[in-house]
Amino acid sequence: MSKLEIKKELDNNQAAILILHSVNYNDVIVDVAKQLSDKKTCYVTFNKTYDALKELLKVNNVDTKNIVFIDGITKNVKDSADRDDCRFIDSTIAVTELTKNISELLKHDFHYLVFDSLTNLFIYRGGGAVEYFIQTLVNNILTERNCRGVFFALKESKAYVYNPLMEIKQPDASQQVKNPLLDWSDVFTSRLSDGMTIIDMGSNGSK
Amino acid sequence: MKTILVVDDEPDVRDTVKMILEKKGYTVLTAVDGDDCLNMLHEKNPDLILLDIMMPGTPVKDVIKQIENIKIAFLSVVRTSEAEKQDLLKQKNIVDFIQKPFDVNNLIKRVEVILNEQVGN
Repeated sequence: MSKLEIKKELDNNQAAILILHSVNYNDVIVDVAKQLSDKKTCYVTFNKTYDALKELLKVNNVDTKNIVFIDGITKNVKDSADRDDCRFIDSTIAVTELTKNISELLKHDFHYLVFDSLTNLFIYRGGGAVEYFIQTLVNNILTERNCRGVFFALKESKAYVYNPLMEIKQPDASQQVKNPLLDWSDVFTSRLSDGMTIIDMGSNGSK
Repeated sequence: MKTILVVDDEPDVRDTVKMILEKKGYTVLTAVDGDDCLNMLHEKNPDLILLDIMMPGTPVKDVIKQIENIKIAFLSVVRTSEAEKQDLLKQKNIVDFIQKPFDVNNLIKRVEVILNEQVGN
């Protein structure tokens, strides 16, 4: 197991899909943001609100002055006007619209795109949408804009994230409900394009 | 016995929470999204609504504006900041914010506490 050096991965690939365990999810997203923070980065969040994410990055001493956020959550729970460093979009936005929004923003000379996370996209829109989204974004937009992409995805399946039964502590170990793991290679039914890599981060946050 | 309306677009969550709360003796209704919830409230008058924060259709901020005099507890898979959570809890009728995935025993306990409190906040 070695520490993730995301810039090296992105030197060799247009995009990296990082498969994360829920236990070290925050550690990895903070680490990636920190490693990329010296270059202009577009961070798309469907996992945490802009405020929650900024708070997390701040307490972990990540400099966010080069980061512009696209927040797909906050507008669902409260009225939010765009800020200099954040564009708030509708959480139910269609994938084509989302792609267009990201594409527009990336016109402004961004080095990196971080997408957090494919799991949320998968839950709300299904595997076909995820595949379309990734392929369009990487093959057309990122390549065109000379921008590198990092896509987070959760190892645990939708059932774990959503189903409260998964949290029941069974006294009998044989009845313990196992955390089902999602095989992301099942989601990407067609071959990933050249220049894209999937990195499975272990449960200790190393690759 | 008190009635609880579970609003979640995830069938697994709706079915599981319904099963758990019915075992505790509550009457449990379910709705698939905010619009379904609002339609149901024309006919039903639950004591508590467990409302998923991220669903297709009408945004949850607009759904809660249309609900009068019924306690609402949010169920949320997304992470908000502590300040945002407190702001949400200051809104009319909002009594709790429950993060997913949640511990079932904790959910039951929180529902019991909410339903034993006075209506409104």
